[in-house]
Amino acid sequence: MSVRDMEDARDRELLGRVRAGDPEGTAFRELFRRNAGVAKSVALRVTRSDQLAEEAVQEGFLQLWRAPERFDEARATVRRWLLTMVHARAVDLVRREQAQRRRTEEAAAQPIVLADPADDVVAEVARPSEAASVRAALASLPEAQRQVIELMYFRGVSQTGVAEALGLPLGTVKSRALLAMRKLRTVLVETER
Amino acid sequence: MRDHTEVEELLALEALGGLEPGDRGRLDVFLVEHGPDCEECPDLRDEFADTAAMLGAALAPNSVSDDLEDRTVSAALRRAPASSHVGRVAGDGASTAIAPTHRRRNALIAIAAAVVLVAVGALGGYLAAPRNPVESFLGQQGVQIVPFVPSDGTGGAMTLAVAPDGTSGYVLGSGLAAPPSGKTYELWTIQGKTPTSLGCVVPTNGQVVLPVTGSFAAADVAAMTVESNACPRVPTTSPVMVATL
Repeated sequence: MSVRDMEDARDRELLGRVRAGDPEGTAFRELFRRNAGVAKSVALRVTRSDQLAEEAVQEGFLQLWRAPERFDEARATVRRWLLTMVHARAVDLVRREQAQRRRTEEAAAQPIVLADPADDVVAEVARPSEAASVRAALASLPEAQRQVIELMYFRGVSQTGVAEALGLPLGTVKSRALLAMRKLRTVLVETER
Repeated sequence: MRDHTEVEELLALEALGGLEPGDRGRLDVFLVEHGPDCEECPDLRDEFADTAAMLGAALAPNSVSDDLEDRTVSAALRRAPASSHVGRVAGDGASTAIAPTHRRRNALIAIAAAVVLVAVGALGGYLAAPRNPVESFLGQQGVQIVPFVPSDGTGGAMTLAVAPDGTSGYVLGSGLAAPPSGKTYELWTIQGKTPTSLGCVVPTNGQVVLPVTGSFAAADVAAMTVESNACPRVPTTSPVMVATL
C-alpha cells in the first residue's frame, strides 16, 4: 500500500464517521485539517483571491458534510472528490466576477508552473511523487493542449475565454480539451497502477 | 450503443471548469436523454472529474486563515449531515456562515420578505425526459440559457432554459442530491419580493427535466428551495440554488 493509499484510507475512515453522524464534528474537523491546504491551493489558482478561495474551500467542505453519502467508494480518493467540489465552487465564484476578461488576458501571459515538491518538504510524503506524475503527464501533452488545460483548470477561464485568449475557434478549444483530458486520464491512471 | 462523442467532450469541459451555460444545458439534456441506465455517462464523468482533481491534488498546500477551520466546522454543526438526520431541511441554518453574494443575498431577502405569493400551481414533479420536446425546445432561436448557482454546498448542476417569449421553459439538472426524506425541491421565480412557485420536483438518479411556465421576462431570479412534500405555496427555507435572470 502506497503512502497515498494509506492517507486515503484515513480520509475514508473519517468520511465514514461523518456519514455515520459526527455530532461534535471531530472527524469533519480532521478531514478539514488534512485537506484544506491543498483545497485552498486549487481554489486560489482559480480565483486569485484569498477571500474567494476560502469561500470556495468552505463551501466544498460543507458540500461534503451535507451529502457524504455521495462519495463513491469505488472511484476517486476522498481528497480528489473534495477537490472536484472546491474547484467547481471556485469556478462558480470567479465566473460571477466581472473581471473575467482581465483575468484571461493576464493568465494567457503567465504559464502555470506546478510547485516544485522541493519547495515544500514538510508537505505530505505522498506529494512529491504525485506532483512529479502530474508534471510528467502535463509535459506529455502537446503545448497547444497544455495551454488549454492550464487556462481552464488552473485559471478558471471558460471555453470562450480560452478561445479568445489563444485566438482559436471555440471548436478547436473543445477538441483540444477533450484530447488533453483523454491523454491525462490514460497517463495518470497508468502511473497510479 | 449510444454515441458518446459529444457527451465526452462536454464532460471534459465540465471537469476542467470550462463549460458555459449553453453547453451546460446541452450536457444536461444529453445526460437525461441517455438516462439513468447509461453506464458510460457516469463513468466518463467520474473519470474526467478524477483526472482533473489529480492535477489539483499535486499542488503544494496553501495556508488557510486561522479561523476558517472553526467557521467551517461551526457552519457544519448548525446543520446535520443528511445521512444522519434525515428529514431536516437542507437550507436551514448555515447560510450565514458563508458570505453571500449580492445576487444570492437578494434572493434570500426576496424569499424571506415574501408575504404574497401567487402560485401558478405545482406541475407535479419529475417528468421523464422525452428527447424530442426538450431538443426541439432548445433548438429554437433565442432560447435563453441561465445557469443556477448552488449555495451552501449544494452539489449538482442546474440550468433554466427560457423560451424566446419568456413564458415557458425547462429546468434541467444533473448530479443533484436527493432531498431529505419527506422533502422535495421546489422551484420559484421571484419578481421584486414576490415569489411564484413553478412546481416541485424530486430528481431521479440526480437528474431533472421539468417543463415550467411563468413570467420569466419579468422575474429577477429563479430559485430552488427544499420544502415539505406538500409543495407549499410560500417558500419556507433559504434557496439552495439561484439563477439570475
